[in-house]
Amino acid sequence: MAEIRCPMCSKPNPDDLEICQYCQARLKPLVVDPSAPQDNSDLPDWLRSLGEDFSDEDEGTFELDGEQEPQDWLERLEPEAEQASEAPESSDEDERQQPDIAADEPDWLQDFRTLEGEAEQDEFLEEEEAANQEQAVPDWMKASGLAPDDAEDDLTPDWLGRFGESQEADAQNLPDWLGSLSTDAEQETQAFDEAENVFQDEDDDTPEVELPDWLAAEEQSLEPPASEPFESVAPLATGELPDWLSSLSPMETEEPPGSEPDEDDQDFSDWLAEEPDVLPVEEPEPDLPDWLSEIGGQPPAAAEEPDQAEVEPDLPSWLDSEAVPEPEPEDAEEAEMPDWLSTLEGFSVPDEPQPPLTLDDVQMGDQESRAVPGWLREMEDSTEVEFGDDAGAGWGDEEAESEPVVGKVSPFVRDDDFETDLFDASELPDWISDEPEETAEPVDDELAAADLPSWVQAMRPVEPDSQPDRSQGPMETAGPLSGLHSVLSAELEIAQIKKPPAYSSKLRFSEAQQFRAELLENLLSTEGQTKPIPRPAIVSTQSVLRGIVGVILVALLGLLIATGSQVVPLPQITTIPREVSRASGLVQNLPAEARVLVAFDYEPGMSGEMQVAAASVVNHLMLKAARLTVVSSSPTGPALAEHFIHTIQARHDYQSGRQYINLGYIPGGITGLLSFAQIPERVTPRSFDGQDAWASEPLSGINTLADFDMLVVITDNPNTGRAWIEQVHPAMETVPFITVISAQAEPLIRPYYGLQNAQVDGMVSGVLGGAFYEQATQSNQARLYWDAFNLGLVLAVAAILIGGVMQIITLILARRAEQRGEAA
Amino acid sequence: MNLLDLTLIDLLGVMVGFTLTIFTLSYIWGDNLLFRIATHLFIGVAAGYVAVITIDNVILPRLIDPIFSEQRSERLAALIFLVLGALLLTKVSPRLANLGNPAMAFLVGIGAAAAIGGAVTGTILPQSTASIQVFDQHENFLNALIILLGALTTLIYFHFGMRQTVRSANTGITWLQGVGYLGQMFIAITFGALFTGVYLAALTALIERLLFLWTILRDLFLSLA
Repeated sequence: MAEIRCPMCSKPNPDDLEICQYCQARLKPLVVDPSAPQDNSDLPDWLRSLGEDFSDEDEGTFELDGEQEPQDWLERLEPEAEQASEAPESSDEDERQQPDIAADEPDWLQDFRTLEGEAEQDEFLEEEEAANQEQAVPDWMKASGLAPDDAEDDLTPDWLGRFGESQEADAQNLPDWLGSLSTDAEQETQAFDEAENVFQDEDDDTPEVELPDWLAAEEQSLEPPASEPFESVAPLATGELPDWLSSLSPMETEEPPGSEPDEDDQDFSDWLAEEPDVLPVEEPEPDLPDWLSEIGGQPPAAAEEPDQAEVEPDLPSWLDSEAVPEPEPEDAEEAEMPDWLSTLEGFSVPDEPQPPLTLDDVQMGDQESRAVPGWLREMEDSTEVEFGDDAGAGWGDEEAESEPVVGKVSPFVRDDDFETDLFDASELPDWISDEPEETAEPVDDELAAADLPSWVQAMRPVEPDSQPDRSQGPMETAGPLSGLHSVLSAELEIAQIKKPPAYSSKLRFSEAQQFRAELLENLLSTEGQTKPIPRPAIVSTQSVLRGIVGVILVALLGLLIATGSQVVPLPQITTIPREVSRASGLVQNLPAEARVLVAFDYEPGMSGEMQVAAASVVNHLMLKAARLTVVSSSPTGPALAEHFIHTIQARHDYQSGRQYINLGYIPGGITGLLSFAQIPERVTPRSFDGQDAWASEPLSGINTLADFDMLVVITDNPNTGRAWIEQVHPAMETVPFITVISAQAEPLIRPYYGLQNAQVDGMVSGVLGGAFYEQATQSNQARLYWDAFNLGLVLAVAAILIGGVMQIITLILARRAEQRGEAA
Repeated sequence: MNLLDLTLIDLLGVMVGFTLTIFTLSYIWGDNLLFRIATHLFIGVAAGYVAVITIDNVILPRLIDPIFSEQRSERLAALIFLVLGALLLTKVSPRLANLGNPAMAFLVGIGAAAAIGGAVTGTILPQSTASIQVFDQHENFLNALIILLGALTTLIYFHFGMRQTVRSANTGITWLQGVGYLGQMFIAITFGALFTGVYLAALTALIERLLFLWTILRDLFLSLA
C-alpha cells in the first residue's frame, strides 16, 4: 500500500486516507480532477462552488487546448508587460487615449485597458512575440529567462511577493504549518536580494503610498526587521499601483537615483519576473497546495475568461476585496472562513502547509501538461464562460474585458431544455430568437468600452474600500456606483414583498364616544315616539267658569224675556245718532211708491240682530208704500228676505210682483255685484220665484240702478257692505245709500259715512241703531230685545270687570308666591 | 206666533228649530255631542240649501235655459259658459286639473280686476280725500284731530322699514316707536269696538233664540192649558 506523508506532521499515512490519522490534517487537496466524478461534500463551500464552476465549464461551448492555452494567455499578457517595460512614450500614448480613466484608475487597471486596446492585435502580437520579448526584457531578466512573464507579474498580487518575505521575516510567529515555509522564504530572500541590487537606486525616490489599515497592520505584523532587501524592490510612483500592490511600497524605500516614474512599471514587473528564478521550483502539480495553486492560477484564468462570476466566489476574501466583491457574498465567504484566516483579512492561508509559490507554476507555456496543477487544468479546460454577471467582476474581469473573446465563446449559459419548454422558436420574435446567435459572436471592444462613460468612470470610486465601513451601509460592488455606500437598491424594494398591514375591522371607540353614541341613539329613538297629549280635565276651572257665566247670562236674559220686562227705557229721540236720524230722514223724504233697492246680505245666524235693526227701516219704507226690489249676493239672502217680509213685516202684506220683487241671488261675489250694477237686467232676469222680474211693477221704469230712488243694504258682513259701496254705489251715486249693518260691522263701515263726500248717507247698526230708529218711526220691534239687551251688556261689562280683577289678583298672588320662593 | 195656527210642516220646523237651539246652547258646558249634531246639521242644511239655490237660481235659468233659447247669441254664450264651467270640474282630478286653469284664470283675473278697481275708486280715493278734508268741518275739529292722529299713528305703527342700528337698539324707545305705540292704542280700541260689536251681535242672537224658545214654550203651555 502506498503511503502519503502528511504535510503537517510529516508522518506517513495510508494512501486511501484523506485526513491524517495523527494530526487530522487534510492529506489530499480539495481540488478534484475535473475529469473524475467529484465529491464535494467534504469541501468548504467556496471550494465546492469553485469546483462546480469548473465542472460547468466542462460543458462549455469551446475548448481550449490544455497544453497551449496557458501559453496563449501568458503570451497575450506579454505585450502588456512589454508596454509596461517599454519606453514611456507608449504609456503616455495610452493615457492620452483615455485621459479621464487614466487619471483615476490605478496602473494595473490602466494596464488592463491597454491590453484591451491591443487585444485586437493578438495575432500580430503572437507573431512578434519573440521580438517583443527581446526588446522588453532587460538584460538581467533575459538572463533569468523569465521575461515573458512580466505581464503576468503585473497581474500577480503583491501578496505573492510579500508572502515569501513575510514568512521569512516572521517565521517565528507563524504557526507550525507555516513553519514549513521558512525554507522557501529563505530562498525567496535570496531572490529578492538579487533584485535589490537592481532596484536599489530606484527605491530611494519612491514616495510612500498610503496603505489601508488592514494592510498596514498586516505589514507591521509580518514585516521582519531584516527584510531590508525587499524595501528597495519596487520604486513605484504614487497612485500608480493598486493598494494591494502598493502595500509593498513601504518596504521598498530605496529608489535608484535618477529613475523616472514612467519606468516604474517596467522595473516593478522586472523584479517580479525575476522572482521565479529565485524561488525554488517545486514539483508543480502534486505538491502544490490547492489554495496556493488557486492564487497562482487565478490571474491566467482571469485573463482568459471575460467573466469571473463563477470563479470569483472561490477567491479568498482578501482577494475578493480587491476584485470588487459583492457585499453579501463576501460576508458569506467570511463566515465560512476560519477565524484565524478571517483575522488576517487579505491573507488567506490554507489549512495545510503549502509550498512556496513559484512563477514556474504560473509559467506554463513551455512545460508539459502534467506539470500544470489540477486546478489550473480545470481552469484551462473550462470551455464555457458566462457573461452578464457583474457580481464577480474584479481585477481579473478587467483584464478579461480587455481580452476579446474569440472562438466559440458563449456569453450566456443556455438552457436548451428550459427554452424548449417555455418557448417555441417559431413564436419568438426575431430579435429574441436571433439573440443567442448574436451573443455567440465575439464581443468587440466597443461594447465593453461603451459600458461606462468617461464621466461616470470619473465619478466612480475606483478602489472600493478593502474594509467596507459597515456603519455606512452596504457598499456597491459593481457598476458605475461601485464603491459607494448606502446606494438605494431597487432590487430590494421591488423584490421585497411586504405583507400588507392588517387593519382591524372592529371599530375602536372610547367610553366617552360610546356614551355620546348612546345618547344620540336615545335622542333619535325618542324622536320617533309620539308624545301623548295630556288629556284635559273633564271639569276644569275654565269650563266651570264658562258654564257659570253662561248659565247666569241665559238665566237672567230668559228671566227678562219670560217676564216681558220693559224696565229699561228706550233712548230719547234727542239722543238719536246722526247716521240714524239721516237714514230716517232719507226714508221719510222718499216719494210715494218710490223704487227702493233693498239688499238682504246677511247670514241666517245673524238674522236676529239684523231683523231687529232692519225692521224699523223696512217698516218705515213700507209705511211709505215703497216698491221694494229685493236682491242678495248671498245664497241664503233671498230666503231670509222672504221670511223677513212675510213674518216681520207681515202686517204690511207685501205681495211679490206687486209691492216687492225678489230678484234672488246674484252669483259671482263682487264681480256679480259689478255686473249687476252695470247690467242688472241681464244678471237677474228672473225673480226668486221665477217671474219675469223686469216686467213686474216694482221694476217698471227701471233700466239702470240709477233709476232707483234709494239703495238700502242690510248686511252683517263689513266686506259685503264695502263691496256694495265699491262696486254698486258708483253706478248710483245720486241715489241715497242707507246701510243697516250689524254692530260688529259698524267700525269698518262707519268710515264711509259722515265725511264730506260720504258714500253712505245713513246708517243703522245693530239693536241700538234699530231702537233709535224705532223712536223715530214709533215701531216696537226693538222694545222686545231692549231690556235683555241692556242686561246682557251690563253682564258683559261685569264679566269683563270681574275677569280683569281676578286676573290681577291671580298675578299678584303668583308674584308673591314667587317672591316667597326666592326668599326661601 | 201661535203654535195651534201653524201647519204640521211649520210646527215640525219650529220643533226642529227649538231642539237644535237647545243643542247649540249646550256648548255652555263645552264641546259635546248635541252641539256637534247641531253644527253638522246646520252646515249640511246650509250647503244643501246653497246647492238648491245655485241650481235653481243660477244654473238652470242662466246656463241651461239659454242653450235652448231661440237667440243664437244666447246659445253661443251659454255654450261658452258651459265649457268653461265643465273645465272647472276637472279641478277635482289632479291629472286633469290643468284643463281647468283657463277658466280659473278667467275667474281670478276678473275678480282681482274688479276688487282692485272697486277698492281704488270706492275706498282708497274717497277715504283719502275725506281724511284730507276732515278739518273742513270745523264743528268736528276734535273728532277730525283724533281721526288724523289715529290714522297717522296707525300708519306709523305699521312702518317696518325703520333701520335697526346699534345706537337705536341701545337708546331704547325712539320717537317713531313712541308714535307707533300710540297707533297701537288706536288699533286696540278698534279691535275692542269690533269685539263689542261681535258680542252685541251674539247677545242679540242669544236674546232672539231665548225669545224664540220662550215663545214656543209659552204657546206650548198655553195650547196645552
